[in-house]
Amino acid sequence: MQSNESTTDPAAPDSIVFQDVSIHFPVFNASTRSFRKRVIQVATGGIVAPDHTGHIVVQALTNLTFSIRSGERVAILGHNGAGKTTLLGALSRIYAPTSGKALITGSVGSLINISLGTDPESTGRENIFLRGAILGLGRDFIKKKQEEIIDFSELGDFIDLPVRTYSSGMAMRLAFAVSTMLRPEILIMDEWLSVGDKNFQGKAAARLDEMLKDTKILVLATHSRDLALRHCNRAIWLEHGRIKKDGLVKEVADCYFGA
Amino acid sequence: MQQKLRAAWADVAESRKFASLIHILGWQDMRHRYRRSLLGPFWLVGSTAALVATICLLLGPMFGIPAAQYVPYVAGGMIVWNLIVSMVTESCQAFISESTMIRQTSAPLFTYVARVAWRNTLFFAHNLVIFPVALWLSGAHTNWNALLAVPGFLLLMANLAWMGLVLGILAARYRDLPKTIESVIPVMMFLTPIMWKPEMMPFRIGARILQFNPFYWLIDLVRLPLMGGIPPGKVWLAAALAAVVGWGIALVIFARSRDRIVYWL
Repeated sequence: MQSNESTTDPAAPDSIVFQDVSIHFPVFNASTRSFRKRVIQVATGGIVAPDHTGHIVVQALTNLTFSIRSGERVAILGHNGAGKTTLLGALSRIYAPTSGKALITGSVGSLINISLGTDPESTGRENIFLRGAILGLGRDFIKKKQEEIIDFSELGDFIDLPVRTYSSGMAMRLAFAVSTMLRPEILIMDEWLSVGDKNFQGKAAARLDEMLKDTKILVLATHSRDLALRHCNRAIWLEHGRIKKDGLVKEVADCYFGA
Repeated sequence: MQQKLRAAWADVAESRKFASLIHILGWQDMRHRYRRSLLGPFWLVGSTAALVATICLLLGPMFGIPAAQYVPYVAGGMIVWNLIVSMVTESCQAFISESTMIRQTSAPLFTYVARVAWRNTLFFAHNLVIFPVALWLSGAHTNWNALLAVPGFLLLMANLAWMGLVLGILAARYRDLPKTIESVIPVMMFLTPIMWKPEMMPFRIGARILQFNPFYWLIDLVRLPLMGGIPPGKVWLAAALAAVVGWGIALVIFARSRDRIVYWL
């Protein structure tokens, strides 16, 4: 019925294959959420406390079929609510398809919420280890990288102060420096990351480019035509959870944004 | 199904790779309690100690058991019972409270159950301070058998971990489960020999039924060695069997629900 395997088939390294993938979110109400009610239902064969509520679902993605090969840089276009975020979640192995098959081969890294899990009470240095651990990086690896991260984030002595004392710019710079340590084979992004002031932005852009050089597949959800044209060679246009158009970035962008 | 079972097992096995995350988060939970007050987790120790003291002063003379026997018994039982209760109640929130994280990272789901287990191990270590104090105050002694409490504790945790996994899953789906559990716990506390001893049961049938209360022998696994005794072989066997069977059931439930948990949050 549903599967989200990640096989290591040498014939198809770093590829994404979606076959007829649909993702439906169940909508629960107080009754379908109730353990006691469920127990009574099972015990009485549904005679007592029958479930009147139908099965309500929201269809986020419907019958997506596509494949992405190594070397492709794909822009995901579409209006709010078109299913972009859900698709990124499915590509990150977070949502297993409700029906259909999603085969994702290779390590997946995401730059969607780079400050996820940051603990404001802990120091910058502790947060480097925390964020690194969330990304699944080993302690020794982070230890080796920590000086480089501190250097890059330009935090200086602030690194040993709690993150809650940081300005939002400082916190973002730290989060950026840690998250870009990752070298995944498949990189997922929601809009381009831009952090810090003019000077830092240049540095950050260079670091992102360096990161991209090592990744084999990029999937970038964006509302910006420039961004799509600059970084991608293919685009998928989603509308109401279905693929409206899939092809070369120039063609799809012309249709979507208007030529 | 077989494939899903394998995936569920892989999830549990993979969470070892996230050992440093489990460790950092567990410590973080504890440090946050330290930060909020000067005494931190020792507040909890204080309340456990107060409860133990009250029971000993009130019920000890009532039952007519000498303090040297009764005080370590109650202290040991209460410490372990506290661990069981917080594992059971907090596991219900294991996935619910981490919904932001689960919706945005693909870390193995068992990581979040392991975090609850590690945090509670740390709190248990704090509570353990009560035991030597209880020994000293009541003039009781223990011996090297106390070291058996370590394997006993591990076996207890192996059982609490599968229970935690099952409860975490069910609570994510059925949101009234934590409340149901909370209402059952006080009843269980009276049905489990913590304040009273099994020998005190007036009817033989009661002692028979007591054998079916898993918390009875799970507590004894740690309490008996702490008091210098050796848990009987059948207690070890029962606990080991419960761990194996329990993990089997937990893995089947986990296999069936693992893909769905994120949709329930």
